[in-house]
Amino acid sequence: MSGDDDILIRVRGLVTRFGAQTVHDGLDLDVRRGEILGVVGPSGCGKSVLLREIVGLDEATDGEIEVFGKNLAALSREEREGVEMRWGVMFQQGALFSSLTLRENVEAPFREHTDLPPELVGELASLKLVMAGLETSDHFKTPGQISGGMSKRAALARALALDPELLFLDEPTAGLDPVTAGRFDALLRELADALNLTVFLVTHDLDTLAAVCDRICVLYGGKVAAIGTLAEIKQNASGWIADYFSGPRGRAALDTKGR
Amino acid sequence: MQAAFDIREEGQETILALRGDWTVWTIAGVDALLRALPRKEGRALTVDVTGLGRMDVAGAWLVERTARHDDAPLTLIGTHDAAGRLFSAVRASNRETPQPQEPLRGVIAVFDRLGRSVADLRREALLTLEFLGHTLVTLGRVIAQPRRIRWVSVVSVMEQAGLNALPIIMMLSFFIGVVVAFLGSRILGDFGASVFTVELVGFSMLREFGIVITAVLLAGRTDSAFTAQIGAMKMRQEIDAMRALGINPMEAIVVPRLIAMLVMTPILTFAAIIAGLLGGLLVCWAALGVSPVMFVTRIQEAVPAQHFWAGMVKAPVMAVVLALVGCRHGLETGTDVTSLGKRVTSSVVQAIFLVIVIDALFAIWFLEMDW
Repeated sequence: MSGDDDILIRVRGLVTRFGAQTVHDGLDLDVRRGEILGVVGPSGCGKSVLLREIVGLDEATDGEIEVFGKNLAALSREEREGVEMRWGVMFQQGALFSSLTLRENVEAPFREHTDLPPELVGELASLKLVMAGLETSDHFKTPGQISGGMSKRAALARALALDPELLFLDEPTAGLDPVTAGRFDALLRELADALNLTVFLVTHDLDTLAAVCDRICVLYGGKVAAIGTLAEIKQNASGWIADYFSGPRGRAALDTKGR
Repeated sequence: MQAAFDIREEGQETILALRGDWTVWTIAGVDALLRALPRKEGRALTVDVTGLGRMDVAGAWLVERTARHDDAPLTLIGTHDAAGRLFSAVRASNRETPQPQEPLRGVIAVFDRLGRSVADLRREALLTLEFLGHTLVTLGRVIAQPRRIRWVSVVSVMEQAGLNALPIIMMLSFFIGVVVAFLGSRILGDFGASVFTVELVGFSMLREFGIVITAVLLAGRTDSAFTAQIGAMKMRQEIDAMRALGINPMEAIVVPRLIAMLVMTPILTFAAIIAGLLGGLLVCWAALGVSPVMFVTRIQEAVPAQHFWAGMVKAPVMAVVLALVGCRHGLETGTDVTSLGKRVTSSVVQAIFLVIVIDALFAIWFLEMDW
């Protein structure tokens, strides 16, 4: 099938259970090349778990996950590493290595996986940090010395270090003030366009959804309850989805977008 | 395919023709070559992308770096689906790469570290004394209002830090008793005085080994746990949360540990002494034929009770040192993981150091006082 090439992540019949609690119950999802897919859903519906299962940090109870057309579970260790280098992950709290400076954090993937000369690695790491919006005066600070917004930017720079095609973001704007969050959204859109990234974005932030996402996927009841552009989802909204997008907070965010 | 390039001059233009893939995986070979290119100020650089395979930010950076002196946009020959986009993205973020501070090397680095440690030593001593004062004031306040003592916390620390250490302390002390008795029987035997082995075991266990073994073991086991626990709480802002809720961390964290250690250290020391004597007793019985009854009688006759007290009186002092050093380093932990590691290390080192030094001071004092 020729269309297969354009689907970077394919999830089929995913089931996840923690003891008696079923998180995913036969979930199907496709992520297309070059799109920013926003994943939303109520707290505890398994958004972050889905992300962790796709990148192989957690194991699903049942079902198939293919990334770049390869079933991760079936790959050998070397093949797996090859796939892992084609994606970048940014964790909710940033997860920067606290004993390293910001630039060393971004240098870490280069040092681990490439044989580039150290001087070039330094240049590239600084370039990535500037691209993520951190000016050169901050590059030698440690994660303890910087604000939450800056940590998120540094974490984004680290996720982008090896020029991945696919980027996973777990609540990138959570805990940021609206102005900083807005800047982060703009940065994300800009980078995704410039670098032709495919982004899998888990978020709670309606502003982010409205500002950067091409498509939105709503997880509810262990399945994908709705998927499509914001307009499509709003049109067919019912139940929880309607509450989510038409509640006071939802309306405010979406109104701004409409103007 | 590895990255490669050709360079040629056409009139005023320098043309850089890219070949192969220019990605982070393929550019290792061309970095040095591009860096070595002679700079030609004021000459436009034209990039020929007709032979270019894939390109990413890292590849685009190399080209941009080569063209850095030129403010005009790069002129492209040929078309490429990503190159133009990447060049402008990289150009927008092109800054002079900052250089990290060179770490000191060689002799200077040695002196630098020496100087810092000496300065630190003074600071550490002052801070420890300050913390001691602070703790004593808090302790006094808590004792004046006994309702404020957190008994649950005290008992829990007593169990974890004290009771659970009992088996290992007794076992080690037992073996030290065995070793001392063997040494005594060998060396004193050379003088035909092996009967005095009993006194040797009695004196050394009661006065020195009981308390020192206990304190050193507690430093490695309990003091490090205090630092790690409190340090992790500090890193997760739990200490700040306590302060914000109006709970005094000195009262909630330090005082219970201090009280627990004050209660448990003498008990553990006593247990260590008994275990050590037992070890000595067994060796004397097996190697010298001194029966257990003889051993005990001889201890009672030859080793007066003052030696027991000379050992035990050190226990509360060691308890204070261990609790304070452990808690202080925990509370001094910064926000990063490295500082926690450093703090735990220096906590254990400092505690063992202080235990030995204080024991030596006691020994000199007792000697002068003829106790």
